[in-house]
Amino acid sequence: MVVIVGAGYSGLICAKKLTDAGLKVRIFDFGKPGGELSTFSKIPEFRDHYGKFIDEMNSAVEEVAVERGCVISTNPIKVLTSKGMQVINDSAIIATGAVDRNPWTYGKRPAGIFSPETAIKLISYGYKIGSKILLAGEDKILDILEKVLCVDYDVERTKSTEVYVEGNKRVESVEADGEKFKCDTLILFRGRRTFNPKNLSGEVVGNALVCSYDYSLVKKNVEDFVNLKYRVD
Amino acid sequence: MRDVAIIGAGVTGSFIAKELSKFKLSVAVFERKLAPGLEQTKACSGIIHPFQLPFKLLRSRLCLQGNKMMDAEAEELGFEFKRVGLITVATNPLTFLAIPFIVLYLRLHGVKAEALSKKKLLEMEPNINDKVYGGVLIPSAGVVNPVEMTAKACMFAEANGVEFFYGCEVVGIERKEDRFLIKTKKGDFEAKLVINCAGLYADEIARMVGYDMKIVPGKGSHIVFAEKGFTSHLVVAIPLKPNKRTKGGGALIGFDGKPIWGPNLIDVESKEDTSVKREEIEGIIAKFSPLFKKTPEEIIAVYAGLRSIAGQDFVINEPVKGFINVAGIQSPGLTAAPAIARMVLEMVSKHLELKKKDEIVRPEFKISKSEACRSLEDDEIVCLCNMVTKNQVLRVAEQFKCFDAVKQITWAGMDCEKCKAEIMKLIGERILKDSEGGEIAWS
Repeated sequence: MVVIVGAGYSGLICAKKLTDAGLKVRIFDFGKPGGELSTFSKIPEFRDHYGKFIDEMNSAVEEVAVERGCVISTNPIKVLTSKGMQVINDSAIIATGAVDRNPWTYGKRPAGIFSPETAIKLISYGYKIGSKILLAGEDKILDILEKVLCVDYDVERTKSTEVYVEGNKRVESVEADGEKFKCDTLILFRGRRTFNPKNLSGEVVGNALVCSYDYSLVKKNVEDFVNLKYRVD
Repeated sequence: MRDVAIIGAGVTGSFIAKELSKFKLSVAVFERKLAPGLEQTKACSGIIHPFQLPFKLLRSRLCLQGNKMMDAEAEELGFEFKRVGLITVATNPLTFLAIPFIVLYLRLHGVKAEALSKKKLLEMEPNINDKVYGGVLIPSAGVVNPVEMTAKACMFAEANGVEFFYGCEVVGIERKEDRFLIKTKKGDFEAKLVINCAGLYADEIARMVGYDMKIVPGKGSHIVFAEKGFTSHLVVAIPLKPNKRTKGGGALIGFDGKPIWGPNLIDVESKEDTSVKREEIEGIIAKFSPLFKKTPEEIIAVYAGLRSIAGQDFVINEPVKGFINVAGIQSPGLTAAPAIARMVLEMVSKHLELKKKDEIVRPEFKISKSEACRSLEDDEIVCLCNMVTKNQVLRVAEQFKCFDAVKQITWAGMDCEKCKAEIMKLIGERILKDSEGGEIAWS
């Protein structure tokens, strides 16, 4: 049997392919299945961009039974579930995904500084996150985010991630690359890293390895992993 | 009229309130922020220091006492406290030769210390640079979450009858015959005694009763890294020549095991200047990275706190009858807090009869990490990094209606970006719908 940790895109696709190949699979997630793509599906511009992957994932959700449980260690696998702790003596596939690097800045630390990840989630909840926004960094995700934001907000951009923030309670201005931007919100992208706070060990797959917003790279990684490891086509 | 008014709910004011709550007294605490410990306390290093040089100072004495008291305080209040130990490293032959004298000197002052060979040192801390010569282990050094420690003292005090007024800045004090009239943004109060724990603004409060003193803000910047377990002890270098104003910071760790490097000491003009400069961060890395084979992975935050400095020592006095200053509480104020509280209790006893309460209430604390949920049945984990559950977040949010307090007390969302939005939503919807203007305010 195989235990998959995380029921986002990578975990679900893995689970489906391995199940199809006749393996017995258990897949756990500490929250609802769907990972960040389910957040993206709530915002039209993101839905357009990630539609292909969202559809692929949604069809996988219907075919595999995701269990709600928080895997807190491996070797052996310990899962916290609604019925208490379960121990499973098996190997784990780590499909815990990526997380944005923390948007730390020089200067002060007022409210109104977000990573794209946090900003996107807040927007998907229906919150207004500010009024004048500076997007800092370079990535396709910021281009999509700009499209979403430019409807309701004043948006400016800078490529620099080395920024200096001023403001007491809320962001008042941001200095980047010698230029000063008046804004109340900063969305800063410093890249992504593996999300694996429990330091689980096992075979790492998908965005936990790729650490990107580019899901074609994630898809390729998952496919290569399944093909190579389990000889499943 | 109250018996005692405490101005400021930082760690000092909160521990004094906690001690006073055990006696038959009416006590009120006035805090300008919305929750305890959100100014000087929250941005300190969170270190329970083993000692403070020179030993003759009041703050050194209170540091030694406070350190010894800390296990009992953690037990009584239910906050997390770990004696992780401090290793002070000899980085050159001169400081290496000083090791036996350092050990002897510390032991003479009642501080446990043990010389470490280079081999032993590298076994204990494999990331330390091979070029070091040896070190001294001081096991009594510890770490806490300073805001948790402070908040729990407040919860204890509140459960035992102390009144807390948050968002309540003191704007004036008038001395009447046998009492003080304390003017605040939420109205006037009277008290027989006033205890000034106003931190950076203690000088302004003292001036209200005619006592002239000056608090100088001393900024200390820190870097927080993601790599938990990079070191398991606090690591500092033995200085060739001790600096009179600062212990010099170190490669410290937080109560959760994340490396925290710093603080430096920069004199600043403004009591609100907590801005971190790039040169400071580069300076801290340049200072401490030679102690190690590599630097820890991934900076996740940089922050600065302000020390309130009134000369070399704490200023604990009674310049006007019934007005007690607990001012200039710079480092090691967090460590000294329980001992300061005992000292102030003595001073209070000269004015008021202290009668122990028949029963002391110990509030139920369910926000400690060690009590994190054991089943997902009627709760859910929100922050996986620090195993904080939804109910824990809501419980703290109900008590202290502000985002910063929830973050600092539960530590939810302090490590990564995964759950921040969800926590904001949780608090926003359930607790703060109208009180904070509805705008998302969380950094």
